[in-house]
Amino acid sequence: MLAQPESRSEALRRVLESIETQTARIFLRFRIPVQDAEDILQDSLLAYLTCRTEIANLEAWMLGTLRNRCYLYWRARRRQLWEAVDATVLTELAAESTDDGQNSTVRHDLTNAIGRLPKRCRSILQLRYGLDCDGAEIAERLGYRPSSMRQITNRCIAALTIQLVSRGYGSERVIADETEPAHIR
Amino acid sequence: MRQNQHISASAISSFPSLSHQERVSFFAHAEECPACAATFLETWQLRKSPAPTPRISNFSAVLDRVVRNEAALLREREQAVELQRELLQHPNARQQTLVMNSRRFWTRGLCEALLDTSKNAVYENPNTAVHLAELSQEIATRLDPESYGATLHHDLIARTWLALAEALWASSDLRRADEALSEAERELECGTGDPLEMAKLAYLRGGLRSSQRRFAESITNYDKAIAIYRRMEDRHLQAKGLISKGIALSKAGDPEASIRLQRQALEMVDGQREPRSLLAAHHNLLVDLTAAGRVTEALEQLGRVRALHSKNGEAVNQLRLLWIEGQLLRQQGDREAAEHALLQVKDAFSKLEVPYDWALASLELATLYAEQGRTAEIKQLAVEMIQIFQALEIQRETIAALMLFRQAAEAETATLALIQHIAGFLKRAEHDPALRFSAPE
Repeated sequence: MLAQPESRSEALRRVLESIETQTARIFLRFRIPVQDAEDILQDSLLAYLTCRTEIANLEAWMLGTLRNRCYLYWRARRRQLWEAVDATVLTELAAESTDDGQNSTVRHDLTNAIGRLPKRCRSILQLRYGLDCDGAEIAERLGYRPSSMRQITNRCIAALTIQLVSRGYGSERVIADETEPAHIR
Repeated sequence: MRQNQHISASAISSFPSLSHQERVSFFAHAEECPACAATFLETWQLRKSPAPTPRISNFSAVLDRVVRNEAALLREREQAVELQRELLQHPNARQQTLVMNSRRFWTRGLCEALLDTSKNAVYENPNTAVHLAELSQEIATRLDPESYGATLHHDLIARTWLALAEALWASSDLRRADEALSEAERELECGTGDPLEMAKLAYLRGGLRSSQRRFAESITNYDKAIAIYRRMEDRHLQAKGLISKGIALSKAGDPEASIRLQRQALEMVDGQREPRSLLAAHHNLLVDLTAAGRVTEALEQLGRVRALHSKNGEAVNQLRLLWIEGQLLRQQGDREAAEHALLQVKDAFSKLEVPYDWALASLELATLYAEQGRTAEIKQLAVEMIQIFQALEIQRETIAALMLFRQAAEAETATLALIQHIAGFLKRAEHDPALRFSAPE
């Protein structure tokens, strides 16, 4: 009797098993939630199926793709977060009246939180939220390259977010990553 | 959100989607609630989670979904052969109309097929390659992102931008090629993270920067591409990166560095996989040895390159080889044979209507005449060049450079330095229409 050709799912399963430990290590290192990790793995396998003739070493390609994807995953997620915090702060500071006690407390907390940031961060956020300057204007006033302004502003918003949230969390140090205000020169 | 109640993990995870008031309430709550603050910081990776992320256990479900998608993809690829044949039998404008209006052409398989056809046409017919890449783009942007997943959809659109950038670069439209690469980069940021596509982006950007004579950026991009190919353990693509980096270094005036890279590339290049790359490495090595004045080694290399070109059979490449032979003959002091070769090259480029190469070959001939004090022939060449460039309505700055050459030729003051200065300008001006000509001091 002729041997049955290996099914596609069996072949892929073998591939996954051969890199299971490294895959798990990547997801762990990047701390990707399980559901999202499954999606990332599925996307990577599909990407492999669409371009497999161009891949010289599947293991190296698969691990490289997963690493890049995890990095991009956090970059995109964090960008959404910074945009949301930025919009919230802009709206909140722009509202001058008609608020209940809670909102004025938050505005007070915001001002305090900005005041606790490093000086460079403080200057950037004061220009952005106090004087409504855009990236180009802030870059010009503080001597940054306009092309770097978005990244620098995001780091400051990250530092502000940590300040806003972690005050109640106590003095335990939160991690830096791309959010470390000390990176701001 | 009440102060005495914890906020759900899903609300924290979807913080950007909350309303403004909910976000404000969250900040107010988090200040009083260390548990919710901790969940927020851990969810958004602003603080290390105390517990490791659980491992994926549901491999079977993932595999099932992948295999289902692959079956659909294979079906589409089979159908794409016929769809492409049907589409390409129409005139170009009609093809555009069809892919924009007829849903049956909106398949991933057809998009991929057009990308492959575009890639194959890049060197022979760059304008056709541009058209095919544009068609593939029309299709890619009309596909349902959910059918194979949003990230794969972004990858596919990125590939169409990369194909378009390569085709535009080959047709010397550097500005649009640059824009296409930026678009590709934006799409890749939302894609699967495929390292080979990222390497391709860096590789093409290296080539573009080299054509723009921004050599430092070109080398940085090539190094990035080569590093990715090395990590992907693809020796052939590494070799392609080395070959192109060598070309950039050679154009920047360092043929010795290029010689080292071309030799390194020759140890890695896979001639079976891509004969053109093997030929390119050998050809570039010959060009660099000639430019570096290493005549003995260049003559040894010439035989190998000639054999490869005779198999390849592209008329323009045969001409470029003859051009190098003319340069080598000149370096050996055989002026008569060099003149014969360069005249052949000049006349052939004229027939093929490749104006910049024709002008450069003419100037090389002018150098040979200048060495021998043959002013009448130089005057004749100068008149011819002006006539042809004026007839082709090529940029005014180039004509201004050639006018200066003609004036010098007529006054019998066309020096070797002036001819080299003008040749250098023409090499840059071919890819930079905005370049201003300045006379040598």
